[in-house]
Amino acid sequence: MNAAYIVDAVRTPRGRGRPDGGLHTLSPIDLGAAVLKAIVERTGIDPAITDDCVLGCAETVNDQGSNIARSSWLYAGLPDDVPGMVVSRFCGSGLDAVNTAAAKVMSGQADVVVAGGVEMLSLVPMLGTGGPTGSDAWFNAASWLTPQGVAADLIATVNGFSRGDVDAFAVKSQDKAAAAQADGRHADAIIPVHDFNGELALARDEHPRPGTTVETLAGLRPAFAEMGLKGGFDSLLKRRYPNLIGIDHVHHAGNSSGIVDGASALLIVSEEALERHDLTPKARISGFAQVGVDPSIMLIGPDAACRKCLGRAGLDYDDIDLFEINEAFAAVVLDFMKRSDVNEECINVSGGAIAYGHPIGATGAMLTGTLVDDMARTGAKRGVVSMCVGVGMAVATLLETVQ
Amino acid sequence: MTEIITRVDRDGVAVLVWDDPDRPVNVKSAKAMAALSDMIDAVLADDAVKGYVIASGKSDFIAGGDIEELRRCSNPSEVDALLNPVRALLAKIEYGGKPAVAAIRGNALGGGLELALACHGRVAVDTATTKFGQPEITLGLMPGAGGTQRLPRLVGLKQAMQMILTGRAITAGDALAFGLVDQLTDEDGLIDAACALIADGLSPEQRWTRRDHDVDYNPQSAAGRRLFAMQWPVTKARLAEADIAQDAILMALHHGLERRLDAGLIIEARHFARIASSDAAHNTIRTGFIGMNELRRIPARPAGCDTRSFGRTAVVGAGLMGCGIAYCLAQSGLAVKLIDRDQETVTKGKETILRIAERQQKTGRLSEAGRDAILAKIEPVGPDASLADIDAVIEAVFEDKAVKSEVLQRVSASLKPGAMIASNTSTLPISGLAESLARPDDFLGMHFFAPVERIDLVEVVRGEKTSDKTLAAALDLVKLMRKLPVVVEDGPGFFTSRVLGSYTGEALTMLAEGVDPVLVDNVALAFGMPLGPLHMADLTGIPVLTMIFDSLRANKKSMVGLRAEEALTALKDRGRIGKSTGGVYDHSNDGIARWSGLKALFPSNEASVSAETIRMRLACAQSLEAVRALEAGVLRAPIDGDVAARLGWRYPLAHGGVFAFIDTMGADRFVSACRELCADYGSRFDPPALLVGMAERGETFHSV
Repeated sequence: MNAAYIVDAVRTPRGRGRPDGGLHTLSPIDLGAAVLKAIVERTGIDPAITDDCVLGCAETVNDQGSNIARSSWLYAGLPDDVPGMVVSRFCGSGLDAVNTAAAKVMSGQADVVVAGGVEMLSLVPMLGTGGPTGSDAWFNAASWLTPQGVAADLIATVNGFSRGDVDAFAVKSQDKAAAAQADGRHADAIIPVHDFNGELALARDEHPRPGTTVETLAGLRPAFAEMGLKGGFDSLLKRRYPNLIGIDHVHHAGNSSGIVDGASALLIVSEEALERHDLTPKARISGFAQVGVDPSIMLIGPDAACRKCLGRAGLDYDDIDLFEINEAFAAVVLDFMKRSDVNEECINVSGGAIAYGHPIGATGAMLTGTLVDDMARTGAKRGVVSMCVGVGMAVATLLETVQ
Repeated sequence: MTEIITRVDRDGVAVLVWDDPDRPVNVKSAKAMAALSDMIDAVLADDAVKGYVIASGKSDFIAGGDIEELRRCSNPSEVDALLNPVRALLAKIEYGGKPAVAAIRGNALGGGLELALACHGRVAVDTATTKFGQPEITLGLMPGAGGTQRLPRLVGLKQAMQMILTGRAITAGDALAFGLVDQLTDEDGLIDAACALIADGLSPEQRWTRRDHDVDYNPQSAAGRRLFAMQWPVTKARLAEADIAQDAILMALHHGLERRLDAGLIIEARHFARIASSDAAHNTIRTGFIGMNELRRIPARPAGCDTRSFGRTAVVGAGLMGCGIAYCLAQSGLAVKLIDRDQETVTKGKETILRIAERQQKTGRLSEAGRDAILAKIEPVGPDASLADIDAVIEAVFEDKAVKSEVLQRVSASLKPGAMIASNTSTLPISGLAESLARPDDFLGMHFFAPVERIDLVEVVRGEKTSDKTLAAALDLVKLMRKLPVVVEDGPGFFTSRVLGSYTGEALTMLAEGVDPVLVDNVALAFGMPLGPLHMADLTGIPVLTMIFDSLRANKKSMVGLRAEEALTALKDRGRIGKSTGGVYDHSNDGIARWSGLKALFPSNEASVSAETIRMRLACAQSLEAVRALEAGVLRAPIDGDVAARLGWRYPLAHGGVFAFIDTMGADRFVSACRELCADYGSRFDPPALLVGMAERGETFHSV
């Protein structure tokens, strides 16, 4: 198997996923083109030799439909002879794009691949693509249809995580993000986004709320209680988990991942390409894995995905210095900690999606870039990115520093 | 002989009047369908006619198909064979090339509405008795002749979904507002208006055959997807796991409406064939419709007894049950003396009745005038009130043999001979209570269910000495109260308390074994019970349950290995007597919560019991006890038991009832399951001889 190296990683700032968000008036191809142009310029690679452009996008419909990878590449004015493909596995799309690109290199079928993701939640909301989930009664029954927020509350209930536990975790995410923004440790990876007149649209992540405390969060009402109680989901979940007397609805906007817009891109190359094009790698992608779990509790997969990924590499949790576990909801990371027994100090050291937001299909490549930077900064040898995924899935990627 | 359909031509419009001489309503029988089909062929071939009107000669439009024929279909192809001629007729109307108008007076429900939907226009009389609906779901069915396809194309998905999922009918005014009818008229103008619609050039093409036709809440729009995604869990959470028609309706709406009509009709037919031949539908129809209708005709009423009329009645005991009974008597127009030990108690009783009336008013079941009329009929009086002019007394005092006997003796002594006297008791044997009475032949049991004003069932218990005249009188009174009587013979727990006792007893036994009560209750909820048995136990109260099990002890066979009394005693010793103090659960305004002391009281069983085992223990406990009661001659027929289970404790219709559950499973499989439970949990699960014989011979309790 060939080695796959990450040469560089860029991303847009994450804009609030609302009509007043900094990126909302731009188009998904604007964001896609911005990160593709940036990765080409920064690495100095001849774009024409790129074998493929693989972008993650969860909702591949409307302005994100019809292959946003090929569209973004062409819109960026990059050479016609590079194709594009979209990878879609809900929240895992971006990390799967990285893994897919790496797989092409590892299998010897490509030498230079751009991977990343695009998602504008302000434009195409989650579930915007449709599909049988939700609307097809028999599929709902077969998959124990559960909204993600209710699934996160179910995780908290099953584990006994209190509202105080999840809120405390959310505050730590904000504190770590504030520290990371203050010392500018990731500033180099963020591409300011401009409109076609050259006016700056957004230069900084605009979702974090520094200074958030457990007290300020205590005022927020549970976001999924009504859906669970009146919407019927809690009753149905008791059929799947008949030991539950009820669901403890602890999640709200302040301890769940933020709804944002954003895009990301990485350059992934083979060893041969490193030498031929005189590139310096930042890290090596040493393995990846994906798992399926009970779709109703849905978001408990990162531990299983990590174990599968590490097991294949002959490693275990003790061999890993840093983790990026996507903060879809606070309970997801708390559940990962409980299952894996990994020390909290090693997880999401620069904060996570609760502070920054989670631009679904773009997040995986962003977390990969963040981990690469934090590994270099802290001298870590190995790191793992893992994300829970809707309908009961999870993805993980193993990174190692290059000696 | 008069024809089913007659034709009169008016200015180039043929008016077809459907008036079946052999039936009180127009049913879509094979004969009627053939007659209508021939008539339409003639009209379509007649160059002098440019369109036609379909009207009814009855007070209602057209009723649906024949439910008796449908419920005999045991596989999907039989259903198709039955429905296809109807579908072909509707297609002939729809694609015949001449405009057809349905002229509607009275109910257009189910198959009747489906016929109207296949027409190109609809005109209806604007009266309160004109109603439109697809009530199939109330029988565990779905529309099968285009209702799920044409209705949403006409009125939109959101509105059609509600009508089809709830079965609720809409008024003529709403039908006009939703676009279901084109025009409302007065009684006399109906046919003229229908003919005028054709004369004015009504198109013989349905609007949904046009290329640009779109449905609001189209399933592939964001709004449509949200509509389906929100509706599914709400609907599903209310159902038993065995209910399947609601999902099928949502599937037919979703997948049919994103295609052209003809494809949608194929999808609907596919779902309908599965649903109509399913056990769930057969069970629902048998118990919820056929069985209830049969029992409303009171087959157990002794022949040759004159109909009893009642003027003045009395209820002794102004507790919750007594007040509920008094309310229902008064609602039937009878004068009621509400009697208890002192004026204060009966005055409080009257306040209780006022609260019942107010609750009924709030839910729209009672008008203000109705409330006042009921209250005016009830006279609260002390214990010394004269009973000389009373025709019927219902005693509803505390469930204790000594207390009841004393009251009954006193009451019967002051009644005129021949006046009916009944005891509202859930478990105390009637023949025992009769011992203290001067005229035991005038006496019987009338077991009402709480809340009396809401639950239609009355278990009428015949004691050893109860006369036929008294039984007939009691049944006449129940009929007057618009309730449904099930007549049973005397015995410990009669039928309902006996079966419910076995069910609750099994749940309490599991509690004593250390099984998590939440698990037990959630399994029961998924089965389709409205409340878990242990939650219910807290609401009933531990002391009341202790008394019930005390009287059920005589059913020795059913009690082997039952640890209900052990569980009840343990709870009572800790001061846990029910909702007020906490019982199996802690109770608050937020609902139930686990009681932290439970684990110490009933140490948890390491070898945990699976949900499937719990389900079978709860279901078999009920069905086995019902079979034992039938074997002992307590029950007239299995259908009585199934209807009683439905009305008495909301046994899920999809399972049919305590006897239908065995039929659905198959007696042989049921017997093997019981034998396994017998080996693991005790000989109370030993299948009785009646059942073993049925299993060997492959018999069922119900023939259809």
